[in-house]
Amino acid sequence: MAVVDNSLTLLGLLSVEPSYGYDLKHTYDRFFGVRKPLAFGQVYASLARMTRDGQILSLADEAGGGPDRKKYEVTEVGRTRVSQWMFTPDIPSETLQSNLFAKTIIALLVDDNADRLLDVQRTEHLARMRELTREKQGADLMRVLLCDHALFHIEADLRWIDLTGARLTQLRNEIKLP
Amino acid sequence: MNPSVVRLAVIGSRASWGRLLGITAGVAVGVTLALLLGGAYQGLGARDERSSWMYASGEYVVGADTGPGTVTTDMASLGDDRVALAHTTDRHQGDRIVRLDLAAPTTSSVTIPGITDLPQPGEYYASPALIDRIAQVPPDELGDRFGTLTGTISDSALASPDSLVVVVGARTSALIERPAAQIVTSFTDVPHRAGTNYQTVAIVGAIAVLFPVLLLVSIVTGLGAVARRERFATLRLIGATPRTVAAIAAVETAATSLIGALIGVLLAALLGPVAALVSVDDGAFFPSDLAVTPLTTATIVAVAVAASAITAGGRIRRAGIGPLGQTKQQAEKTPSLLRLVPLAGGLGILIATTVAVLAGLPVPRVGTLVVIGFTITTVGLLVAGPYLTLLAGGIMARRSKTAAGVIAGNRIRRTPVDTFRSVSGLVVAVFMVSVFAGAATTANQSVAPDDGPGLLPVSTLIQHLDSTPAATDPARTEAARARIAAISGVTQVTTIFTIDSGEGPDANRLLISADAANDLSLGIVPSAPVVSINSDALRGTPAVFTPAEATDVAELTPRILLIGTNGSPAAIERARTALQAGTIAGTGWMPAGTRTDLADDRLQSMAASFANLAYLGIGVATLIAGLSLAIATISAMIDRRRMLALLRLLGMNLAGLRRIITLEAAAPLLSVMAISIGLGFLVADLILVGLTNGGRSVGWPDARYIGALLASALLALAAVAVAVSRLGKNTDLAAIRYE
Amino acid sequence: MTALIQARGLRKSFGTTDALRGIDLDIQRGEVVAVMGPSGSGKSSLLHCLAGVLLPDSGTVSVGGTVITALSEARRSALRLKEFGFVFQFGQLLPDLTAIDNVTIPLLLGGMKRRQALTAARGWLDRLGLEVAADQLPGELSGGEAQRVAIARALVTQPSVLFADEPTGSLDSLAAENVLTAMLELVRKAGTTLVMITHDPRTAAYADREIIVRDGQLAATDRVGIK
Ligand SMILES: Nc1ncnc2c1ncn2[C@@H]1O[C@H](COP(=O)(O)OP(=O)(O)OP(=O)(O)O)[C@@H](O)[C@H]1O
Ligand SMILES: [Mg+2]
Repeated sequence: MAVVDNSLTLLGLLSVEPSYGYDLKHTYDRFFGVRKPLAFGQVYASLARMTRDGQILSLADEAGGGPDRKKYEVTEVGRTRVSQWMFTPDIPSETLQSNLFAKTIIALLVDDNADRLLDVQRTEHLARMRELTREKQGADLMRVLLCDHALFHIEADLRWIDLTGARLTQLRNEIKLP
Repeated sequence: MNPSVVRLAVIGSRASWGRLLGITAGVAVGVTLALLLGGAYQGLGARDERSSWMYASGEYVVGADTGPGTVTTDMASLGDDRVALAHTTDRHQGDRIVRLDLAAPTTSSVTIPGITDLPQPGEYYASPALIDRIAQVPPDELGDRFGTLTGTISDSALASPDSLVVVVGARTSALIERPAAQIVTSFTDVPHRAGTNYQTVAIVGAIAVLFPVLLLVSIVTGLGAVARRERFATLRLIGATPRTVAAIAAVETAATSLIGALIGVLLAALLGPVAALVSVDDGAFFPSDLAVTPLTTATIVAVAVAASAITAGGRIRRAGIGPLGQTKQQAEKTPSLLRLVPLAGGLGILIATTVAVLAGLPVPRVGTLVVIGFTITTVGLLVAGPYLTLLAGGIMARRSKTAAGVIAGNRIRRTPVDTFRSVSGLVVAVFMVSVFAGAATTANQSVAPDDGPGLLPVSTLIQHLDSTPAATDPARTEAARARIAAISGVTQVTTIFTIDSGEGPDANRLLISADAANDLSLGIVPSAPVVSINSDALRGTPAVFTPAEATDVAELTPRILLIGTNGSPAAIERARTALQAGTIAGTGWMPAGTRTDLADDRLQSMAASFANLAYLGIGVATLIAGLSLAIATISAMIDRRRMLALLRLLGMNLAGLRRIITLEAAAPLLSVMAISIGLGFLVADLILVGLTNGGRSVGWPDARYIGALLASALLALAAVAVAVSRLGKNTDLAAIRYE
Repeated sequence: MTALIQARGLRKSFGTTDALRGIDLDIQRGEVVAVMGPSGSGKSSLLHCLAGVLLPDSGTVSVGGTVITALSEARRSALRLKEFGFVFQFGQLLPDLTAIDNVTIPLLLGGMKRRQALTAARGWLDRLGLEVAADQLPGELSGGEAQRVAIARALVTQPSVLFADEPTGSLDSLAAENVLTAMLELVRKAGTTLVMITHDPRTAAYADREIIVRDGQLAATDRVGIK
């Protein structure tokens, strides 16, 4: 079940530009936290884990700074990780949308090829649909209906992908970071 | 209606200008012809009325009568209110001259229209055309027949500027001996002859011309509807009802055809003098004869505008343009056998009339019945057309071996009404041309009598001698014979006799001396002093001589003079003039004439001039019909642009598409054309037999008819070729993209 | 093995619109390919170029080794007749002809005898479950039946390539599925190559692979060589 992968999204946001933990949370909330804002604790836990994994590093402490006064910057390892994440299609499932959405936004923010990201995902979806379609051949009706159920859901995702693909330019303009 | 809405629907592309131009031109031509025909109708009536005085008649003079009021050789016996009149048809170089010999005292109160005073013996009045002619030839060829010219018969008493009419003054003594003399009291109020035949033709002609024009309007608006489908659909989408759309088309067409009609009025005025030159019956028209009254003009214009507006509106409505631009492919109602009913009805009327006339039953208004029957038959042909087209399409769809044939055949089978409409103009034109050509065949039957060995030469004048004492006196006849034989150009003069007593083997036979018979060199003459010659020899059958009982021609009565000439018109006319100037023949019951002259009769020349007119009118109608066919074909192609593009996609080449379009026009044309031609001749025969009491029937059509048919075929071909030449443009494969 | 259809550097513009902007594409014999992409991206233009209906402004298309972009219109017509079949969204049947007559047309165009053509046509209609519809006019058929007649007409000449532009675009899910399975069964059995434009992922799922056209170009994943 692929809900938004928080730490990878934060890593993606950091790869746009170095940022303070506090600002990072607000940026995140702006794009992805409309319904469920991220808790500060979660942000700091993630930052700590990423620092440990060498994906980010904190810039020189500013005077008297607590954790929220630290500015973080992504490392080369971090960048590779983000790119890998973005262009690895998710397993088609009914609720992957939010993760895909996050990937798309990040791709746009870091000026990477969001089209390609969507295409990769589409290919993955269609491959799955082909599998299901093949499975239908010669199967009993029950099996066919089950496959159809899955097919329709994947199709819904695909439609969203198509629609998003068609609106990428518009989206890019809208999310320009202030 | 909002004017901007109308603008949206009407104005736009160059194509719509072309369409409006098409309607304008079609209506202009139609109105021009209708006005000229209307003028002809009025003019024919007027000329008959003007010339009616020539047909004045009265009691015949009976020589032996001695009762009170009897006319004697004394002019005074006529009194002031009676004139003696002899009416003869004279000839000059093949043209008929109406000759009235008239005896009246100077004090007579009788008047003749067009001349101031009655001519006195030795004087004559002549029509301008005759005066011209007299002046142009030597007096011994024409002028000497009449005497001294004293005045001109004015145009107000003449049928045509070409009329050759002469009123000659005579003595009562000369007239009363003649069998043709009558006593006439008035030359006015003569019931004018029922010259309705030409008027009938004028009406039928107007119908025949109006039909292709309406067809053209219908087809042009059809094209407009097809070409503007999107635009009309937009109107429908924004809420216009089918009625509004139809009304827009009607208004548009009304405005356009009003312009066309006005141009037509102008054209008719300009062409009037030219049309007046067309010779009908008595000759050309006075230009004023063809001028129609403003009321008639207004009526014709109004009818033309209304008819085309209604046609256009109806056509658009039937096109059924929906808000989505898809013209409903309305399944056409399959034409049923019932469509043959009007055709059968029309033919029934014609056949019944003819049979009744032949059976001698009293049929009132034969002419009217014939016109009604003819009109119904024409309409019936149009009604039956789709059914026949359906049959042809069905056969083609089943039998065809090629894709083009299968496609065209099925298309025809599904839309016989539409398919037939595009060719109906030509079908009617061919029907009409066949009727008129059939009717005209009667004119060709004996126009040029045969000439050859054993036949009386056509250059020989035949003078029947009146049974007047002067003419039948052998001595005087012999004197006249000698005098005429001396005229230059006359080769021989032969006298033919009969016996007076009606008994014996020679009774009722034409007798001739063997020497004279030998001189005629018409064949073997038996050795007998007097022989008889068959009377048919005078009408162009080979002469046969048989021995007669009589032995001396001096004991017989002279009956006929045969004046052999060298064949030059001058010689013939000199002989004719000399005969009339002499006393033996005078202006007889029947003036001298050649076989050609005597065979010439009014019905034939009438039929011939009918045919000329008919070819003229049908020529125009055929052109319009050809135009219609071209437009209809183009319209059908635009309508099915997508389908044609699809066929190209399937791998059909342009030649295949051309074959489809050509077949769709050719199949109904050919299937209905043969029937049109057959029916045309049948109808012509019925009309002729009906109108002439069985006196005439149709013969073989002449070359002009074959020419007319070929021309129609070529026109049809050209129309389709023009349309088809646009195929490449209209079947761009891009058309597949759009639904 | 070289591809049956090879397109190289296809460019096509209509006035100022660039419908195709350099497309390279290989399609193998017997392959079933779905062409997808947004509206107006150039799918139909691509299909028409591949089928020799449209000539590209530049670039070449070769089918079975013949460079069809170099052929005359007449030769391409003949090629379409023999080697290609077409199915569109709707409205491709001749409205005046019965279903069976519609199916015979390509055979007649190929010079076959009418009787023979009718027999062959009936066979294909039967295979597509249209026995009863044979003598009906297109106007009397349901959308699905009409599409199956169109498929019969496209396949009756046993073409080597079948081009389909949204063949099920105007049908509901079930009808679409029936038409599609019928078509695919025949296509696969005959080893016909199928190039099918579709907007519908579930239709595309019947294909061996899909290519995506965007702005007149193939999406990166579909480019020749990347595959
Ligand atoms: N004949 C033509 N004339 C002008 N423009 C054309 C023509 N054919 C295509 N175009 C344009 O080329 C572009 C591509 O058209 P095409 O029909 O190939 O798109 P498509 O992908 O098939 O779209 P859809 O999915 O809507 O059918 C469009 O912008 C279209 O307007
Ligand atoms: Mg398309």
